[in-house]
Amino acid sequence: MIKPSCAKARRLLLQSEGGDVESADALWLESHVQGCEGCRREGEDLATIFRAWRALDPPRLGSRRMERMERAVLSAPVSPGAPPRPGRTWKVPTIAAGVAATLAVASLALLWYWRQPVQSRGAGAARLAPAAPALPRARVQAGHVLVFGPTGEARALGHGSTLPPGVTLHSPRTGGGVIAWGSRATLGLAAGAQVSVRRRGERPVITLVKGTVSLDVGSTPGRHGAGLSVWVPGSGEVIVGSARVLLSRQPGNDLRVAAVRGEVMYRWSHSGSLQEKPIEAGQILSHRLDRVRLLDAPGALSGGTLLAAGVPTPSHTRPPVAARMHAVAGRPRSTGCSLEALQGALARGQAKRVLRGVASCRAAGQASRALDGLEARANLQLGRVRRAFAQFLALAHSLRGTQQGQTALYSAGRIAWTRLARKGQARHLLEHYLETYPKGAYRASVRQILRRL
Amino acid sequence: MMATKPTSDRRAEIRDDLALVQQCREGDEEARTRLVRRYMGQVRITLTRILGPDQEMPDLVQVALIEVLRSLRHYRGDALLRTWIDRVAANVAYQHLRRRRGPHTVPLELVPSSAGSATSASRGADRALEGRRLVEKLTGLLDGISAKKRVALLLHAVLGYSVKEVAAMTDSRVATTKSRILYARKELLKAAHRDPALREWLDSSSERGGG
Repeated sequence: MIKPSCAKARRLLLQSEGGDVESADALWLESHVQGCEGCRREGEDLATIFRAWRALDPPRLGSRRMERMERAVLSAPVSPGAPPRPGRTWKVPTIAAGVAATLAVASLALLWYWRQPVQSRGAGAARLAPAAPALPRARVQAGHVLVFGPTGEARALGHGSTLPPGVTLHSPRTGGGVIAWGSRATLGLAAGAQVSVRRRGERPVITLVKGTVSLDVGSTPGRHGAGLSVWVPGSGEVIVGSARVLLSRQPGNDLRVAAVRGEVMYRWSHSGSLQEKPIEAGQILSHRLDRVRLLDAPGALSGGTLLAAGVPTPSHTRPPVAARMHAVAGRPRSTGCSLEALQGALARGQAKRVLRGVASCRAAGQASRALDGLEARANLQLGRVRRAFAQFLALAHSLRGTQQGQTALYSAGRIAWTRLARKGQARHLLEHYLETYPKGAYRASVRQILRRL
Repeated sequence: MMATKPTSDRRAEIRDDLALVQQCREGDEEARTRLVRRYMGQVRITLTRILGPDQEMPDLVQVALIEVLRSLRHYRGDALLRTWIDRVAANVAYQHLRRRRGPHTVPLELVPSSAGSATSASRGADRALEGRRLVEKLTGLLDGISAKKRVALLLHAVLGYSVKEVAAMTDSRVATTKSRILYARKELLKAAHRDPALREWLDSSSERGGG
């Protein structure tokens, strides 16, 4: 419970930083802070946190990188916009009305375009149906674009291909690009490239320069993220960035992955286990989004150009490639075992229910790292600390080299520090790890934990 | 706190700023380049101090600078250009925080080498991992605070702006800003004290500071 005098001291402290506190109050504040251990300690703690936070300042950029960023900024079209106002966007009715009218025309033209039979549009870029004359047609100036139609058909467009109307792509430098048509927004470009996507009377969903792929598939009741690394050959930047894919859990949402140039070794995680598959140029793979998590690891892709995007696809139009992917992953489409349900139960503190669920999943033939992780966390919740600790260590070893592996090791290390060290139980478990895994990736970290015990 | 410059110096700086902005408005490419070059580092630092290490940082820096160039016509010289640019960067950070959902992971390569030094005397990769743990903890603490409170708190406590300046930068009333900062401090401390590892770290820092 905070004492009233301490609460007053905090208010006055904030006022005194702005210089508007009366002298009597200032005197009272000084005497209070000197005499109050709680307030003094609180001030020190805050100062420590902010000092550590300030230490995160980024290192200076190299001159080449700075020049590249400068060029990208200066080459962006500078049209007068509204003044920046936090939290207030698109509230000017005249602008909204103008944009809505423009986009209504664009969406009608788009509807007309996608209603044409696929054959009449042609497979190649040169034979694409002509757009409405009033609308600009964009050309892929560099890189590659993956375009999705509203019913889920996907086409990979290469250099020189023409994009459907409504999509503009501008790339003054060499770069790769992704646009998912029919989803809200997608892009992934190398330095200097810029994409702007508008759809059906909404404000531009994305106007970004360089880098990040970002999707937002419709209105999504439940979202979760996945990492994706895009490698653009010859761009000079190598890893463009980690993509954040926001996706819907509604059935039928697919993640499409296409190799446009060369052969790409594509790795992903399926229910916690690693999968990999070479994708040849022109091939498009599809994943169910709620089952697959792309790995956020540099080097997950090697060679070629990989493009990925998400799009809501009605189940009746889902291409057979989705079924093939499930066959590759070796998982039935629907099982009684739901990882999401188990995670929800764990979040609600129903650890015993989670353990029962994990056991029944395994009995049904599903064994995965995700289940192992859930079991370890459930054991930790139930106070079975040693068991959880050993399970996290084993998990860290089996997932070594991945983000999840590091997370598991952190969990183990945290248990060792906070729970086991006092009882003297961590040491022999850690030594057991060193003996069991003579080439373990985390030996150095485990030794570090041992030294600190 | 940010040192307040003498009024004459401040006026002279604003005059220079206005001249540069006027040149940019007239389409002088050299002036635009000068402006971008001069303020790119500041924008990066402001964004990092509000958001922490973020993989999208290069994009955000570019977005903020483009927004600066687009909005230059709104700069009237009421404040220093760098303050005005920080306001734009803070807005970009705020919008990013609103978009950013779910757990925010910190990639190892984005953690500066100095981040681990506050926690232990370990070296090399281990120190990087230690630093990363701390950064993740701190990021987690700040992620638990709402975007508006977080921006107000960090503009005030880390970037050194006064409460009045923060209120002007965030288009809020001074009383609202004060309240946001106070609540943000309170939530931050509560969350930090709830975490055993952070409490230990704060205790050890306090002992080192005291000793």
